[in-house]
Amino acid sequence: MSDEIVIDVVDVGLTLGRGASAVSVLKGVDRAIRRGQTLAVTGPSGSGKSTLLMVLGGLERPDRGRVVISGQDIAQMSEDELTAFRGRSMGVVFQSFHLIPTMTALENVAVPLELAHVADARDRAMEELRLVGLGARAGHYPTELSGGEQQRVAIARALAPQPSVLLADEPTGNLDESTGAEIADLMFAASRERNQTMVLVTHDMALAQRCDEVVRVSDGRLHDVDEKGLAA
Amino acid sequence: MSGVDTASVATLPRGVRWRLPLALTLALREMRGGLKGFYVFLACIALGTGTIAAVNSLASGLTDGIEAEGQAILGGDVAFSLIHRQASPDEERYLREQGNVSVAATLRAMARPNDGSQTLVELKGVDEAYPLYGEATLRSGRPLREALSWEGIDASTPTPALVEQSFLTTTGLNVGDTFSLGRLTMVVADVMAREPDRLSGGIGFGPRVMVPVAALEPSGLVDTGSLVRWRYRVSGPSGPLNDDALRTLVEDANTAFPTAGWRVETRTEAAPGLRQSIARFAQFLTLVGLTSLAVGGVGVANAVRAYLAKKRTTIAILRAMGAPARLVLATYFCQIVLLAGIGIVFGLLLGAALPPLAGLFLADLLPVSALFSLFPGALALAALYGLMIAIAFAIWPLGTAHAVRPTALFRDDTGAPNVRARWPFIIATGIAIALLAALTIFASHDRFLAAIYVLGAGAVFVLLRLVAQLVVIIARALPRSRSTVVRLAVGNIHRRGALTPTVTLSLGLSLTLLVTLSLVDGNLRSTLLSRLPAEAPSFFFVDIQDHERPAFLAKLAEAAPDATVRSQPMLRGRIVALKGTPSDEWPDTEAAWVLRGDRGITYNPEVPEGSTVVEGAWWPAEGSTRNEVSFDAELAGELGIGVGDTLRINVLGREVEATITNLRTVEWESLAINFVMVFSPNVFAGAPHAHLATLSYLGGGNEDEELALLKEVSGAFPTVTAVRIKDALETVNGVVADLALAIRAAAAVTLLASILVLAGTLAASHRSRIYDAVILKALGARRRTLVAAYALEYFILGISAAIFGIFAGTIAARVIAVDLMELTFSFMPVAAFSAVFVAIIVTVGLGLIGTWRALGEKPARVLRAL
Repeated sequence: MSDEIVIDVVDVGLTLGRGASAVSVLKGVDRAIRRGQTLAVTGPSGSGKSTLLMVLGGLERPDRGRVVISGQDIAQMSEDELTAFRGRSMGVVFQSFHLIPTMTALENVAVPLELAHVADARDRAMEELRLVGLGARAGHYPTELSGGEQQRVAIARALAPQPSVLLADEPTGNLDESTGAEIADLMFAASRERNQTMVLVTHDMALAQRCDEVVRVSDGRLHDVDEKGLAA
Repeated sequence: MSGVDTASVATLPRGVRWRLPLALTLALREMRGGLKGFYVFLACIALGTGTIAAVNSLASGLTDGIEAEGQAILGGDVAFSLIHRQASPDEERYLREQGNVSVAATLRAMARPNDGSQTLVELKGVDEAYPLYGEATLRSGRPLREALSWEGIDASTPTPALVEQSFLTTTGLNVGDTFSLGRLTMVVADVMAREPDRLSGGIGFGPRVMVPVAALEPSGLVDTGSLVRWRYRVSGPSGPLNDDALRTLVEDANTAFPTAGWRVETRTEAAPGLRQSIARFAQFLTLVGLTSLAVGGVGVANAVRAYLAKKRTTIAILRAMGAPARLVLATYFCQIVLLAGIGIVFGLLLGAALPPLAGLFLADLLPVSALFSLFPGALALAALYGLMIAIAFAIWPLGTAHAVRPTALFRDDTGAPNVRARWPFIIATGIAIALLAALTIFASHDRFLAAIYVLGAGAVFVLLRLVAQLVVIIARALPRSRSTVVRLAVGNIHRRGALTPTVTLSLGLSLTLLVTLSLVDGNLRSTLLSRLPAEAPSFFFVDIQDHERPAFLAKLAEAAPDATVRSQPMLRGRIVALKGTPSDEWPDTEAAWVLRGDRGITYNPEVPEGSTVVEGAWWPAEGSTRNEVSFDAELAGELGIGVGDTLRINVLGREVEATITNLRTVEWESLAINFVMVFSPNVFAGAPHAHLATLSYLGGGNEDEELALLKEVSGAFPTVTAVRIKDALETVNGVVADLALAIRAAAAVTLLASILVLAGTLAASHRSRIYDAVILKALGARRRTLVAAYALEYFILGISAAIFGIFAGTIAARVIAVDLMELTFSFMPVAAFSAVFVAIIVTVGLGLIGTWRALGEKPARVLRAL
């Protein structure tokens, strides 16, 4: 882990909905996350964990505050610039894997590289698949893979563009305990080996405890959590 | 995977694959899911494209056939036609110096078998040189020259004649039997299997009888002023004339005989009327085909909308991976174009297959030699229509893809989008529709008609959207019914994702077309038939010679003392100049047909019955001092001529100039004796001519008295030709019926497209129907209640579409009948109620078939899967 700040969130606020149905989800979130650091975000359902992840990924624009990723204020970017930036600098892993069903494992992994016009997209995608242990299943479609294998493909896809930030939303939520543990090992190993910053949203405190830091979202704000899982 | 296997494309060797644009690569990968959900899309495009391709290919093939067989159809490289008179010795000598000449004369005459019956026949006299081109074949296989005799024709021995099979069928004669024709006795020598120049004659009111031209004079059928068309067909002295020689020949002939008054046709313009009719009919059917494409367009839009709703997750994933919105759009646009391409290919295969098939059936009627080939122009036009319809109807729903954002992946919110397309997509849709309208208008034979169609179709589309909206608003505003069935049905009509807009639009469009065509067809037939008994005469008698006129009229008065007989002098003449401008240089207007070919003309000291002078004054009863002519007011208006203008007319090879001194309205529909031009008696004083007479029974004649009169008159006056109006109209009605059948076949395609769209819509709503049915059943609703509710919902939708269809179809039919075809119009309830019947059967039937399965689902199984 270096001292370089990769994610800098300053006084971020976000309200979803309008009028009577408006809900203030984030109310002044501040956090700085360093290169190679892993951060777990926990909290009850509806607390705003996933919303925070979306804000970090530039998928949701905050009403106020700044989100600086690798030195660039993503709030200032146009929609297309942000999309390109996300494809290049951020990898996302979802709870429901979200692979494209009409593409093979290899093609799913190659998609972000192709979108970034990488010349040897398929070769690099193949390499990523080998690294997650699925080199032999490159030609298989998602429906021909188990849940764990699908999530491995999703991780390979997130890692393929060599992003500086990896965002994961309940990556083990749809998997059994042992498969979930394998996936978690894979993610932490990748983060460590590539010196990637990882923000992980999870309900699983055991998984959260494997991160360098754990925060809890409550009442629209972040609260540090100690090793026992208690908010500081 | 079913359908198209695009995997092979997407996994091509790298060197090839990278060249494909990314959007296309992604589109091909997406299409690996197969064509499920797109069958209606494909069928709609294939049907519409196929109809247009078939109609235009057939028209092109027939036109090409006429062109290719132009010499045979015309009977020579060039034909000089004269009405009433033969070519003068100088004229004939001149023509014979130019090459080989064949002389043919055509007229209508009465054939009288020995049993006392009479049959109107299309008589044709030919010489030994006939035919110069093509082959006339006889059933026996004998050459035509051997079957007919060329010398020694007189009344003492039967003269051989060739007849069509229909002549034998009508008269009950056989080969070898005799019959009378004018003053001659003829013997049926053989049956004609093929007459190469048949198409140059127009519609025949009776079967063909072919005799040696030398037999016409002794038959007494050709006399002064007889309605005979003489044709002199010329071919080159040693093979066909080339285009330059042909042009020179025509120019020189016209220079040598400037007042001959002949009509000259060359092989390149053979059967112009038929070609014109084919082009008009093809356009009409193309518009019907376009309607089926437009109905199909609704299916296209539905399919695209449903597909994109299913693809929201994939779109969100692509967006999350860094795909710009325009790449996503390009990807799905590529898919639409590829799918449309598949539909178009199927359509073109259908369209290309029709001409050869039609060729097999039309071989006896039309020149079909060119039908056994492909027509790239017609196919390309159909493909363009198919593609543009697919694009025009897909852009708007594609616009909703823009609204899919990657955040949907975090919230598991990948259900059906409820967003409106953005302005750029709405504008792009408008541009695509405008281009489609422009293509429809500019690719048409009659652009005015096409423009009316485009406006009408556009108005119907907009109105149907409004009607659907209105139905939804009314359903929403209705008070809650106590009946569960009514409550469920009404709720289904106005809830989100209801079938109302789609069903109203697709069914309403096709029903509008169906009602329009039925009413136009019905009114056309009723104009032709139902008005007859009251107003129309029973007979037209032509070629009554001056000397026999008094005896003939006396015979009619004796045979039918209660009938009204009218007689008029009758000549044929051709307008050669208007206001000093040659006819062929006169601006082309709706009424230009008056200037083409020969017109019947007459003279009369008084205003003819059924006519009213609306401008100028009729000549004095005691006689006119100058050449005066009265012209039909409406046609004069369309031609741009009026009182005081002059016209020059060629009658019997003599040119006469007359001044239009009055315009009059003419009631053509009465079928009384009427002429476009009526001259003052002095103009044709002394000119040889025959007379025309009509006979009308009080209250219309019956079959028996008409046939008895025919027998009596034909026996006494064998050279007078009697045309029984009912027979003639039956022939015309037969032609109209054949055309109506073709139009109905094309309309059936539209209805089929509409059924497909409905089936597609119902299939798309199937999942939510199962969900509803299962939940309602779990809550205690009985299957009978649900069936009744669904049936009521479909019934209401069907009725709404039917009411609109009747309303809009009646207006459209009225415009076509009254403004375009100049018929009287009356609403025909049978046609309208059949439309209602069709609408209800289609919607309720299809709807219930579609939902039957939904009702049969076991609640537990579905609820577990939810």
